[in-house]
Amino acid sequence: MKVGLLRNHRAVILLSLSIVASGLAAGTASLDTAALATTGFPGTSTLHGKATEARRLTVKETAQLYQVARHGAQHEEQGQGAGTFPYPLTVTYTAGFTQATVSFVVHGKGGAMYGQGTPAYHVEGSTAYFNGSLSVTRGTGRYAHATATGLQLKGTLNRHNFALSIKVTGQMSL
Amino acid sequence: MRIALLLTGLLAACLSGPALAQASELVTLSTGFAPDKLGASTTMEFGFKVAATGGAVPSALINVDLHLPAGMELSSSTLGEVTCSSGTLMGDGVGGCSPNSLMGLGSALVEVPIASEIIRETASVAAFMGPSENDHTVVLFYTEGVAPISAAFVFPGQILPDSPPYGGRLDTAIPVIPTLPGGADVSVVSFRSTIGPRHVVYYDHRHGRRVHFSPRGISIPTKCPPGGFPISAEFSFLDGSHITARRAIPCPRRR
Repeated sequence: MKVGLLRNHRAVILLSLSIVASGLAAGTASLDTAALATTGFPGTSTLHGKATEARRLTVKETAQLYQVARHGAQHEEQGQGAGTFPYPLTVTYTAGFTQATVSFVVHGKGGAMYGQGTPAYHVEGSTAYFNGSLSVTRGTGRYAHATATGLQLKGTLNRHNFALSIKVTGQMSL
Repeated sequence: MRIALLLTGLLAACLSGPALAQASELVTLSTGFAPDKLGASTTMEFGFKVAATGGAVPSALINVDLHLPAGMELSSSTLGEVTCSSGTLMGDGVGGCSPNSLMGLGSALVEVPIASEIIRETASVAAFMGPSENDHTVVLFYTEGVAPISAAFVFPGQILPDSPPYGGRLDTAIPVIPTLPGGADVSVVSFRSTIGPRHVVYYDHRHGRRVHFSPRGISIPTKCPPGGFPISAEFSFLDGSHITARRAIPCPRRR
């Protein structure tokens, strides 16, 4: 009799285990990733809010800028962008013998984008030339997720009146 | 008879103090800023002297590579607001170029042994803004001697990228200048020049009148590194010897 009871117990235990296992399996299958995350299921990370895909954008931008200030070796230029971001634009730069250090701010609607780069620089007569790459490093407001690397910059600077003309092309994410 | 040769040359950075090559040449450099003030528009002065041990004429200089201090600011300078070409200089001399292409002035001394004598000639040097090459700024050095030989040379120096602690390098290859068949080559034994507005006058037309003005020079950095602004120069000679000299332009004194 004891043997029979033991067998029954074992069967009950095995059956219970299988029910639990199938339930877990079923339960797992019925949960999506977000839910798993919110329950703290082992191996998941906590997610909040709604996941959205970054928007890829082709940048084709030109601008004419004029010097508004000079702080020692640093020049500050302002102007209006045209193309992908038709908004006010501020560019600051310093230039040595062969390289410039450039930073910029696009004052968009509902936010701003910030970036920088170190393009090559050379002079020929009354014109100076910029040629190199820029990056978008951060943004605010609607541009909070803006990012870009390898934007191509070509620019010319009038050495008499510091009028600056730029063209920027490339890909970025918003 | 005017001898016109096209050279590739270089303006050498000056450092005080001699440097020795593996062979017999000895190079003395000198350099400075005028005015000597942090953040100021300035004229850079460069010079070098080459001597051979034993008093002989040194081997011909064939390349000079001048490494310039980092942090010097070029964007505010209006030096060389017009370009002049090598062809114009060789054909018409300095008078063929706009005054507003002039970037600096100086002189050079060359020597050539002929028989038992050493012929020396002093030449004037003028630096001009040239057309860029491969997206590099070019400075043309026009050197003209009158006696005992009337000769003129143009050497374009390209400003190329460099590594810290330097901000750029002015690189020039100097072709060998032959004299008599079978004779020695001309040897540059001293050279000095400026790059900046000192003694340089530009002209403009305003309100129907021609007015003169002084261009803005390259700006000295606002901070001086410990030990001064580093400059170095590498000299290569026809006999295969090389010299590298490193010094620094002293930090301006506080006034």
